[in-house]
Amino acid sequence: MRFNDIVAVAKRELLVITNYKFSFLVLFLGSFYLGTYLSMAYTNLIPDPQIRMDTYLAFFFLSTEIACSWALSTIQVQDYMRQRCMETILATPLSLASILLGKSLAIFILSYIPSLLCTIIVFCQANLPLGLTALVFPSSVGWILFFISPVLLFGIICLNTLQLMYLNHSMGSLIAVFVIYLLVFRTGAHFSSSIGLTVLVGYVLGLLCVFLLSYIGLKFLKKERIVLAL
Amino acid sequence: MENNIIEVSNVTKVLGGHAVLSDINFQVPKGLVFGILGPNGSGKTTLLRILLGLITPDTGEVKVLGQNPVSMTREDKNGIGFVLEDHGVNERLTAYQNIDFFAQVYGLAKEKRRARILEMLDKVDLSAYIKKPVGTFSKGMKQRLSLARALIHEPRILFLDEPTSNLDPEGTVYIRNLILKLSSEEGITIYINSHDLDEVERICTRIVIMKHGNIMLQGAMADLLRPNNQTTLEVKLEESEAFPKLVNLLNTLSFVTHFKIEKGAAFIELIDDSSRLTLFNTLAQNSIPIKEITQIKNSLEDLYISIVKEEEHHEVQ
Repeated sequence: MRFNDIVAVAKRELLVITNYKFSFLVLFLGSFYLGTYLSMAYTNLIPDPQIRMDTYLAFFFLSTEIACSWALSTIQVQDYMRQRCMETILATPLSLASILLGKSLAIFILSYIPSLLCTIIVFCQANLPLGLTALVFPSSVGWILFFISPVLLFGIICLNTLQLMYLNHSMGSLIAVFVIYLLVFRTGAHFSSSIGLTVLVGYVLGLLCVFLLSYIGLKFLKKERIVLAL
Repeated sequence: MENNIIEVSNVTKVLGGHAVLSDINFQVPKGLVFGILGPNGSGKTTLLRILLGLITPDTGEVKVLGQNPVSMTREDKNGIGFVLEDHGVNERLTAYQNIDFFAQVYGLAKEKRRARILEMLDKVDLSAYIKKPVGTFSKGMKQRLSLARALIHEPRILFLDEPTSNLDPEGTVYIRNLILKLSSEEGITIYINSHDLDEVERICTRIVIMKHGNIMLQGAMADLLRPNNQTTLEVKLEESEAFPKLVNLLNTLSFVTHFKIEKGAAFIELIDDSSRLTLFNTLAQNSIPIKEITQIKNSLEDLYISIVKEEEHHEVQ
């Protein structure tokens, strides 16, 4: 596995995804709307601005990212089914790990952008009513979650891409990641006032779980399996 | 052994309880245009996938460039180019973007990449379409683009799966000429999977005929089309009255293995090529009024049909 291979695959995936202009725009705006409107509908109920920000960073930040990555994966599935390029890509010197990480990196880059925009909106929303006299920032746990979440997101995307590869990029394979999105979102809505160490531990455990599952999945995935399913 | 670029020994593959390949053995020497001929479902594509390292054989051994394709080093894999039946180009991307991806994967340095891509697109006459999305291309153009893609890293062997299927006559001729040029001018060994008899006969120097996962026949094209080095001539006479004289004469010639008179012509099988001149001299000395002499070539189609029919006959028995 070479870093250049991952970059080459990611670059190609970015070109492909953004080339489906209409689908990309609709899905991108849709997931951004989902991230801002639904998440804020819950966080706005919290009176304390710092808890509001922490709650967003703990659950809704991640759920927005997951929603985006899920939406963008549908384009990947669409492209896979239409173009039938996979066999050609598999026959090159690229390893399965490079293909997986490259595809995931492209989705990660695209899905992280709306989440960051949402974070800025949440930050402004918390501070503007206070007249910007003393800026309210997330708590230390909130900051940690903010920095861990991209790693967790990348792991979730890897796991999603892996299961797309296992299930031959069928539309049905997208259901799994949508379930994860709903789970994170519901948890956020349920525990919105109790952000603390438990949530942090949950994040770390989730992180370990996702990477372990990805590693095991990749170890057992063979090119033959993908090729014979084509 | 070192002269062989591909070696397939005792390869067997079972998929879904059905033997797709049974005890396949053949070698491909360097620099040849090698053809695998067979109907759909004969195991050609499975064999190609094994040679590309996409699937592993159940038994037997495969070596491409002296290495097992599954555990091949990156450097050795860079010696292989291929075009599969589905082209493998993304229609959403431009011709340049498609090739650029593969150039990166094969490790071409950034500074060399652009020049090489332009050179390859020029080679396949697609320079004018560099920024056009591949979705707007015809099938022939896509096939040419795939060839440019497969050649970007200067491979030593090129695998082609049905290179001219679904192409118009013009596209077919272009691809055939390009394949012959690559083989003769650049010394690239070409491995072609095809069910097009005409195509294989025109461009391949060595062939394997497959059916139901078995090799039915293999060898050099020239040898297969002229078994035992025999030559057949069609002799037409000025006067049909001269045929009895000709028959009497042919019966006395030891280098004539077989002959028949049919449709106003004599079909004469000679023991070898060198007997042609002796026959011409003998006919002239005996004042046989010759109108026309044509050498009959066996076609691959005749050979293929005879093999397939023989196989079907065995199956019925």
